[in-house]
This record gives sequence, structure tokens and C-alpha cells, in this order.
Amino acid sequence: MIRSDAIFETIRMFQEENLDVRTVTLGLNLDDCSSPTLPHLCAKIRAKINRSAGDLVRATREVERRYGIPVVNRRLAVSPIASVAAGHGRDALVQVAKTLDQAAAEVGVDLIGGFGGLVHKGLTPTAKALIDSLPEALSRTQRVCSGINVATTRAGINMDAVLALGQAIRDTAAADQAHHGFACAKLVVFANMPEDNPFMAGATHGPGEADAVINIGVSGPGVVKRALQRLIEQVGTERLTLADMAEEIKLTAFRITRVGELIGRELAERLNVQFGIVDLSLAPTPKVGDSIGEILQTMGIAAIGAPGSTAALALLNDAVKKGGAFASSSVGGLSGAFIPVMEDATLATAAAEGSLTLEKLEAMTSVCSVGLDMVAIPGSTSGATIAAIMADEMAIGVVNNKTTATRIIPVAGKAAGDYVSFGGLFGASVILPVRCPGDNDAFVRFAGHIPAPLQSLRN
Amino acid sequence: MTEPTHLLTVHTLDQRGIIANLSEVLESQGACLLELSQTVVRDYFTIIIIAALPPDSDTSALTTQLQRITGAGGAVNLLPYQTNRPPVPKSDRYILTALGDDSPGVIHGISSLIAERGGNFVDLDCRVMATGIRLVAEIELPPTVALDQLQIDLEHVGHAIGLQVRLQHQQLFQATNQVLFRRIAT
Repeated sequence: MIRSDAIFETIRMFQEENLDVRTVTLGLNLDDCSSPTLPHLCAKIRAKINRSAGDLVRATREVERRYGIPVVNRRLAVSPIASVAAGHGRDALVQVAKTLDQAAAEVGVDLIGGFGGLVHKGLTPTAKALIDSLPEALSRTQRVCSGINVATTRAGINMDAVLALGQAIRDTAAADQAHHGFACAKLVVFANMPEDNPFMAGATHGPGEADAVINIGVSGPGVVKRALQRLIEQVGTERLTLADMAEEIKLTAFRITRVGELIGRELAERLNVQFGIVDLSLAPTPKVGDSIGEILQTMGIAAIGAPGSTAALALLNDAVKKGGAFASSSVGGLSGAFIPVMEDATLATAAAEGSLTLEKLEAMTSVCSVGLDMVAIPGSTSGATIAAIMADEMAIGVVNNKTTATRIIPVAGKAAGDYVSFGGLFGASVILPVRCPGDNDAFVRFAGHIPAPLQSLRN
Repeated sequence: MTEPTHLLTVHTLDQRGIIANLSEVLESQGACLLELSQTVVRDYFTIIIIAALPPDSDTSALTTQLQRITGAGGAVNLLPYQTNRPPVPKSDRYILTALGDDSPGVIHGISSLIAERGGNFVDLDCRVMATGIRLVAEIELPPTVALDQLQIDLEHVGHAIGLQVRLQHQQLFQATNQVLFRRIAT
């Protein structure tokens, strides 16, 4: 039998350190639902989701029971709707969003991603219509999420799309003013978007994927933090080095990844679909003990955002990847540490205290996944300024050949220093100031295309 | 392959060199040790050995020789090996853990429930420490078992006596603790 202490160590990860399977995401290809008539398109989408995902919740519960592992969310990611609904206009796309919302509710999932498109080289008429539809589609639905890829290292940055999305985000916030612009939390703008990301709001079932795929997002900031605390207690700060910490994080990431792969493979088998990947991102929640900020504090960064924060995050991110890559050959998605300000109570506190600024967050995103995530900014910020913030983040992804993204929430009626709360897992935060808003709008208004960097010429 | 002929159990206060002494006697009698398991429980040495003895062995003399090693406070039991266990049906292995207050009837309460549902204990380790009781068991369960209900019932039994009882598939612990792990499709 496996040693008793090893058994109890595994149990402790779930019981005391908040390790869970954060999401089981079923990716579904909807290309076969395309139709020139809207009622037919919506009916086919609804039928396919019900047919393919009808058993997802039941099967997940069975696997949860078998292993005694909590699975927090069950979700769907569908093919980019800008392709599935090609040829349809703005109003039709709103109807498609409502159909996705209804179908997601029918199969018992809390979020459905994929109401987006791949526009990094250009906008099709449907992609333009989809961006126009976002304010209504996201504010009139509960479960629909949108991921839009506006840049790749190979293609550069589509600034026409970035500019249009800057305005769409502002309009979405205005359309959802009653909920402080929460609808914007369901929109992610990407550079180098992965096709197999299971985490919302950016999960989209990529065009290179199989018809139906199970992807798993595990999460365990609390486990990593406690492992580091135990290491410090056992070895003592005088004898410990950062390399020792990296080693400990690797070992922890190994275990976390193995949990995800076990659940994913069993679930895929039960649903008779392909197993895709384990995304071993450390995704925090507002719960105490489930925070990336707390890991950095354990590593000696007392004020998150102070000098040293980027280096500490780089160490953490790299060690997580190394441990995960050794544990499984099916690691994918984003697989890094998330720093969503509103969803991480310690990061939100650092933002409120002024140590964590928008600029420092941007620097930190150059070494981790994903980007400026769940960042609340003043509602008065113009669409062009939002586009400029996004362009900066996309540039980091494009030049560094990595995924970056933004999930920015301009909170209508609120100014820098005010608070906004979405409750539950979406958390709360101070509104971060945007320095010199509007001063550089002329740059983004040139629009067009930022050419692909030299890094794109790899053949 | 050598067939087993005898089952030997020895219990005594633990002492340095006891395994060397026991094995020396067994070897001198031409015994072949096929499988053994040994542990120390609260200072008591316990060993169970499946052995093949030569056909003309004098088992009384062997027992006497072994008793000299254990002394008066120990026990030696040498039985003919016989097995007529029916073929084991296909089953899944689960790890049962219980942590919490020590109270009378813990093992009986849990083991009765497992037996009632057709389960079989393959391995069991239970200790009472200053912090309470810690029980770990490896259990075979028939695939037809209503796992949900068994887990609920175990939790209920545990709750009544201040214990947290969990039943989780063995593969979870293999996956998180062993470098080499391949999940076999069910």
C-alpha cells in the first residue's frame, strides 16, 4: 500500500489547502451547425449542445465521488461564433448568444465560452457584427463569455479590431451599468490565444480541435503557499535559497497536475470524447488561502507590486510549468499563474494600498499568464484609451511569443479609488487609476495593423 | 514455482536481530520463504510468513526452536497452508481514511459497513496517537457498489463518533505520489 503519510498529504491538499479541479470544460465544435437561416442555426446549436453535453454534469459528479475531489465548475467552450454564424448580422448574433445561454442552462453549466472570433489578421463582416453585438449579447445573457484573438506573434496586432473592442468594452459597461459593468468580466481580448484553454472567460474551442474534447483546469495556490511555508518552517530562512523554493513549487505542481489528468482522462472516457489537456494555471479566488498574492508574500514580497514582485512571479510561473510538464504530456491551455486583481483578495488589497499599479501589473504579465485580468478602471476612460491599454498588453504577448490578454472593466460612475464588488468568485477591488488617459489616443486612432515582429520569421 | 506448505506467525516484544535469528532457524530446516509481511505495533514485533518446508520436516521441533527465540512472552504458530478462496471477482481498490477522536467501536463500525456492501479489507493500519485515531485501509469494492451511498453512510458512521471518514479511489494516491503512473482505462 502507498505510505500512510503520503495518503494524508494528498488528503490535506484538498481538505485544508483549497486544491480543487477548478473547471471541467467540454470543448465542442459547432461548425456543423452553420446555417443561412437564423432559426435553423439556433436550433442546431441548441440540439448539439444538449446532445453532446447533456451528461457532463452527471458524469462529473460521478468522478468527483470516485476520487473525493471537488470539481468547482462545469463549463462549455464552443467554436468561435464569428465563424459558426458566418453571414449573419448583429441582431442575429445577439440571438445566437441567447441560444448559447439557454442551451448552457439546459445542460447545467454556469458559463459557455466561444462567443468570439479569431481576427488577428483582419475582420470579416460577421466578426465586425459580433463585436458590435457584444454590449447587448453580454449584458442580456448570464452565461455567455467571449474570447477574441486580436494578435499573434506571426501576424502582428490588428489595431482596427483593438480599437473597435475598446469602444465595445466601454459600451458593454454602459449597457450593464446596473451591475457595475460586470458583463465586461465575460470578455477577454487575446494575443496568441490558446485553442484549448479551459478557463473562463476566454475559453474557446479552437478550429484545430476534435469534435468534442474534455479540458481540465486545476488550481492550487493554497497548496503551493502551504508547501512553501512548511519548507521555510523545516529548513529555516537562513539556509533556504530561492532555488529550494523553486524545487518545492515544482513538486507541488507535479501533484496538482496529476490530479487534473486523472480526472480529465476518466471523464473523457465516461463521456466517450477525447481528452485534451490539463491547464495547470494557479487560479486564485477571493478566499483567504487561495491567493497568488499570498504565495508571493510567503516568498518574501511583503507589498505586492514592490521591486522583486516580477522576479518572484517569474520564478513561480516557471517552476509550476516545469513540475506540470514532468507530470503529464498533456499540459496545455494557459498553464501559468493568473493575477486577476479582483479575484485575488491579496492582490486587491495591494491595489487598494497603492503598491500594485496598472503599470506594475503590466510588467508582471510579461512573465506570467495571462495579462491585465479583472482590472477595474474608471468608467470615464475612453474607448480609445482602453484600446491603448489593450495594445500595450498585446505587444507584450506578440513580442515575447506568449499568450497575453486583457479583461478590463470600466465601471460606469466610479472614479479611481472607489470600490466595486461583483461578489462570489469574481471578488472586489478598488478602481485603479489610468495615468494620462486620452493623451495617447491619437496613436491607436491611426488603427490599421502593427506588423508582425522579427520573431515571427522562424522558418 | 515452489508451492507453499505452511503459514508461520510470530509475535513477541521487538528485539534487535530477531529477523536474522528467525530466518537462521528456518534456513537450517530447509525452509523456503515465499512471502512475508512484518511490522512493529506498539513495541510488538509481528511477522507472517508463507513458507515451503521439506516434506519430512519436523514441525514440532521447528516450533520449539522458534519459541526459544521469542521467549515466554511471545507466540509462535505454524499451520499447514491451505487455500480454497474462491476466485476474486473484478473489483476496484479504494483507500479509506479516518481521522478524529478515538472511541470504542471505530473499527467495528467501519468494517461492518464495508462487509455489508461486499467490500474486502486488503490492508489496514490504525494508530491511536495523542491527537486521536488515524486509520488507513486499502479496500476492494465490487464495481456494482453504490459508491455515493457508501460514502454517505461512512461519513454518517464517522460523524456519530467524531471521525472524518473518506473513501477515495486508490488511483488518486498513486497519481499524486508515484512518478510512474499510468491510468488503466476501466
